[in-house]
Amino acid sequence: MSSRPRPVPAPELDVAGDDPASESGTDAAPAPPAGMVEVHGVSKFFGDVVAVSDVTFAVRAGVTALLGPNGAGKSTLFRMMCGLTPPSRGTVRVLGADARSDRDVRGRIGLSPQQDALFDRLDALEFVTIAAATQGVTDPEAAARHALGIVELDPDDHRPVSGYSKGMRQRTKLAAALVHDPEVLILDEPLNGLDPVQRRRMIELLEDLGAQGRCVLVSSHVLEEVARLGSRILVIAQGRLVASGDYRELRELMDDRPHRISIEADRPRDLAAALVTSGTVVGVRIDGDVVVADTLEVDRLGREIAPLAKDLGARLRQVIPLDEDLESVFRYLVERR
Amino acid sequence: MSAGLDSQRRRVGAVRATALCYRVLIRQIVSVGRLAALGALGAIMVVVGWVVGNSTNGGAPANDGALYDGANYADGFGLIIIVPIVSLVFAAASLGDVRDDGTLVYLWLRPMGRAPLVVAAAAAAVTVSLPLCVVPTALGGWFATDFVADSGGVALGALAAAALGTVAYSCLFVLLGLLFRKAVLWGIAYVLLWEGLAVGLGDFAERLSLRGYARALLSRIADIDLGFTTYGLVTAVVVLASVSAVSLVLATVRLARLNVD
Repeated sequence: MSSRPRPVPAPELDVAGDDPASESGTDAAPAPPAGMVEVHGVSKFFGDVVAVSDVTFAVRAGVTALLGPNGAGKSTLFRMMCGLTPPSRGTVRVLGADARSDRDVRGRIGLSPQQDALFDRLDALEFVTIAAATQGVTDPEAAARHALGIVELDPDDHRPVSGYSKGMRQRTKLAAALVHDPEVLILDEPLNGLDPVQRRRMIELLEDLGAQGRCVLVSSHVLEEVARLGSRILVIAQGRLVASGDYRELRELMDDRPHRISIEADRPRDLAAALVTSGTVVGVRIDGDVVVADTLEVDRLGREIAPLAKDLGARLRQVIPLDEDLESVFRYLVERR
Repeated sequence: MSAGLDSQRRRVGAVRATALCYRVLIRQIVSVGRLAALGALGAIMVVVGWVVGNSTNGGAPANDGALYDGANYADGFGLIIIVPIVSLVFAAASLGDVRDDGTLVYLWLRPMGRAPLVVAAAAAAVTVSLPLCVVPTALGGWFATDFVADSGGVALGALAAAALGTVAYSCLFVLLGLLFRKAVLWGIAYVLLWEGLAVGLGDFAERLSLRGYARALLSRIADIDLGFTTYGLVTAVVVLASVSAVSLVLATVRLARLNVD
């Protein structure tokens, strides 16, 4: 994955990245993707709503993150990979099989779904033991104790899971997902509800699992979370695959977009004129005491705004970015398609 | 946290899969609230049966009227209300609840067939429903006879009808739980509008109702004519068993095609 991420034609993107044609972005007819998880031309409709639109990628061993805002289609993609819902178009293969119809491949997948619900009358050990037993593990309780140990939950805590905190429920789900030692781990927002220490340990665990040759797919809507995973990233927005790459590459791509900055100061007209003259902005709008500036050089603007204001004798009251939220980044990527 | 997983695995056979799913589902469907409410309904049937038995016969000599009253009461309260409602609550919940709350995925995404999950759901529902249906229907019917001669036949008939009716309704409502969200509402509509009312319209309608066959069972075993019923014991048993089996097959097909949350 050394090339810059492409915000656009992602259909034949190969995240594992050893397909020269797809990596170079040439127009050569792409071969179907090959990997532990293969998603080819997949769309999913719910009535008139397009949840996923013509998505193609392949994922091999290691950690891969699906990054996108809520409602982008990440969970729907995960559900299709696990066979929980069939694609309306296209094909999804996990380890070469369709999990919806192939019983054996279902035993090679570990899923931690997004929803919080667990069998609330069971305690964590019972819950994970049942998961192990239904996966055919020969000593389910021993495997469950081991898995709970991995996620740092006490197997002898016999409270029903209904009394658990969100973080404990997340870790219980993760223990159930990995108790049978699956080759493919699909984790939908696994870091939600974890405190910073748990989050760091979970990230280490996921990296460890990926390094062992498992295919670990993790979804998140938080960019910084994905950054810490150090993983390859697939950016999903409005049901489409809009970019891919590692975090650094994606960050650069995001930094290329125009940034909108709100500058509150006295003498806003003079300040706006000075900004345009200096060439640090590509557009300005004045709204009362506020200058709303669009810039491609956000760092330079940050450096120059204070001296400019000082030269004008204007007092800066507030400088804030208006579009640092992930939604705006996704919107930018989608619009550039 | 560090991963060091090395689980040994074997294929999960149908019997083991059924037992595992049963173990989970029976704990999910049983709640104090459900048991209390439906147990109270059964208790009411028994008490009212005792009142009926005492008030209609009032110490009068044994006669066919008392047996008829007992069988009719077992049918009218037990087979029309207790059996379908209790079965509905537990059977619709067995897969319907786990589907609605999102926990079905923990049994669905497993290297197992779909049939064991459906059979386990029906077995869990029957396990819980059976005592709640059979005991009040048999006791209530028996009490309503005021214990006249041959009243044991009414109790036995009510017991058999309630038992087979519970199995058939449970299987049907497991299917209903997979077909509809809020299956209990659909089930109540079915029980009240079809099983309760339409059946009173005549022979043909009765042929299309489970209650009709359960009532036939009661009627034949107790040897009491409850009206409408024209088919025999074997027919009633075969139809109830067939409805159970077909419902389970359809539920299995439905489960395999389900969109799981």
